[in-house]
Amino acid sequence: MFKSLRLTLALFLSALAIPLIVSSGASAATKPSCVVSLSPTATETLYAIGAGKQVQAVDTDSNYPKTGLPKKRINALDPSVEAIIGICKTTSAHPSSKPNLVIISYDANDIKEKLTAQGIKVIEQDAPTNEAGALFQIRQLGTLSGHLKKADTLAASIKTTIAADVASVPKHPGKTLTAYYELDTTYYSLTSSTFVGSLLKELGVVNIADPKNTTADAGYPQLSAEYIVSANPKMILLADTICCKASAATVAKRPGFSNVAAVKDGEVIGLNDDIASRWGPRLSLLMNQLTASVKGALKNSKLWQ
Amino acid sequence: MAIVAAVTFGALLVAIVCGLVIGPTSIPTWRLVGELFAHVGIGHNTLTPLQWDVVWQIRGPRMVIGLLAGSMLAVAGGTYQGVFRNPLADPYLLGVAAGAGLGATFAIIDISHGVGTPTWTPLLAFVGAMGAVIVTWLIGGRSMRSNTATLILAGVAVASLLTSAQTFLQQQSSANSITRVYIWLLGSLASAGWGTVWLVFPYVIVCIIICVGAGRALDVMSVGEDESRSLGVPVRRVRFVVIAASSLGTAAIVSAVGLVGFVGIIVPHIVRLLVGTSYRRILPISVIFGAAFLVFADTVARTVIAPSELPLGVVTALIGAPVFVIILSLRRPVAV
Repeated sequence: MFKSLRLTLALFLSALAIPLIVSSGASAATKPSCVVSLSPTATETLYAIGAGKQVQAVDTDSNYPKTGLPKKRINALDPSVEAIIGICKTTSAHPSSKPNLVIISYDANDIKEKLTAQGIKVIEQDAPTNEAGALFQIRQLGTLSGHLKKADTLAASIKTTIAADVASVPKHPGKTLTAYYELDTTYYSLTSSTFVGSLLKELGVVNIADPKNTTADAGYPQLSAEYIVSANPKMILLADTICCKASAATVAKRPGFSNVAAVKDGEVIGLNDDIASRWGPRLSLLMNQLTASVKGALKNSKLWQ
Repeated sequence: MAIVAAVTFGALLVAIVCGLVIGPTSIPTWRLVGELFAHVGIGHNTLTPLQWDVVWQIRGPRMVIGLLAGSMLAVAGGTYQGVFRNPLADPYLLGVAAGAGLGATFAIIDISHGVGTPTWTPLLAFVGAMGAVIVTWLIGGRSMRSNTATLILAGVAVASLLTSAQTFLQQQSSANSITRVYIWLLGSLASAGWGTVWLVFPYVIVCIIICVGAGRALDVMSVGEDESRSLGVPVRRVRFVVIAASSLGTAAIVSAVGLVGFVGIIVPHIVRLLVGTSYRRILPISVIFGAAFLVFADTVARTVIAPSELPLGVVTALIGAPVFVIILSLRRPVAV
């Protein structure tokens, strides 16, 4: 009896272990051991959801998180197939130099086709056009990297933050808050059909670039100084403070801008270029900044005299 | 000649008015006319503050820089064609474009790294342009045995080297930087303000005066270098002064507006077909014609797809090339 009891106990403990073995075995099989990210947004997301250790190379524009990024860099504008397929450190867990997964934000040099022909999984994550698209990409990276739970948590947190920020903006009947969003000093802007533009629209902002959107521009039209001055926006958001050293002071010095409402009444707001152009884990931060800017403009009595 | 001069001057006045009146912002003509009269002391201001900014702070300096750029590039092209006796010579022949492009690329990438400032772009473009011309002169123009062919070859070599350096820098930089370099290389009057105008004005005026003043010497040099020397023309000194003035003026313009192509090569040819081969006529008429041509081209560039703008170099080529072909087909081409 004692013998059968030990046998029963052994069988019972083995049965308990099976789910652990199955789950860890499945995680090990689905977690790619060598990931290459050629998208700064994807890099940020991978590190935020705990997949950083799997990333063995990133593109030259990836600069966040500030520490822990791999030393191996690939130029995403001109990626080399040969460099990518030889990039991984060979170990017992990963005996090949080829990566399991490559994430790109645009298909330069037909890299997607060439890497796929080498048996490498390639995912293209272009800039989304709205919040749902951005959250989908976060979850997609979670699924692909084996960190879906953390990705779900991150996406839910961003969704909650955005909803709370939108709800916190007071209703402003009779006040039309027009804004110009600057991407660079040659007056490239974005419309409401882009993800940042969609966030501004949710906050009740009227984008001066919207009437000038064409299919060819794909949501990023180039405006002119004369158009911007004539539109007289009440708020100017600068997403080129790092690349082009734009600031309220430099905008005020531009020919014709001194009498623009946003310049006159102090509503030229500088954003961090990287945060403003990426749709990853720092999207909450961007939304916080945009919300604060909108609230500030609505409270600025000089704008509404 | 007098008729051509009068017509050209008339075209210049029309271009100036178009540069102020026409634009993506709709401003009633009567308000503009009233404003122009108010500017000379008749009547009062008729524009709203925003309209005033559009006309005098945006269109005004843009139109003036267009006049300066068009006249300088045209007269520089004419003098280069005279000095080198080559109908395909333009102001960028000795490496000005490549040097300016390298300087601007370096500045733009530096700014992207958070180190430089936007004012470095015109400064480094100017330094690059003049540096390229100086190196070209040192390689191909200093020797007593040097001639125009040597200078041209030196210019080609220097331009090739600098262009490859610029390409390397671009390839190492971000997509955003490449876009901004490309836009700069296309040339544009969009960023011009009165500050830019006053910065460039003294260089351009002095250089234009020197170039136009060299018309007689260039006429003599058109018969050949040995013959010119025998007629008492100090060929090397004239070549040096004319190239220096043309290059300095071109470098100043390029640093302000980028690389506007086609003006320097096409305008002197059009003028030559109208007034003959004497540089004493070609150069002063080119000053006026080039100014009108570029302001007119800029008006088209900034209105056709407003609020976006066409690259100015595209418009100058699209307008200038067919006009030149038409003139060539109507008249017998005249030798340089």
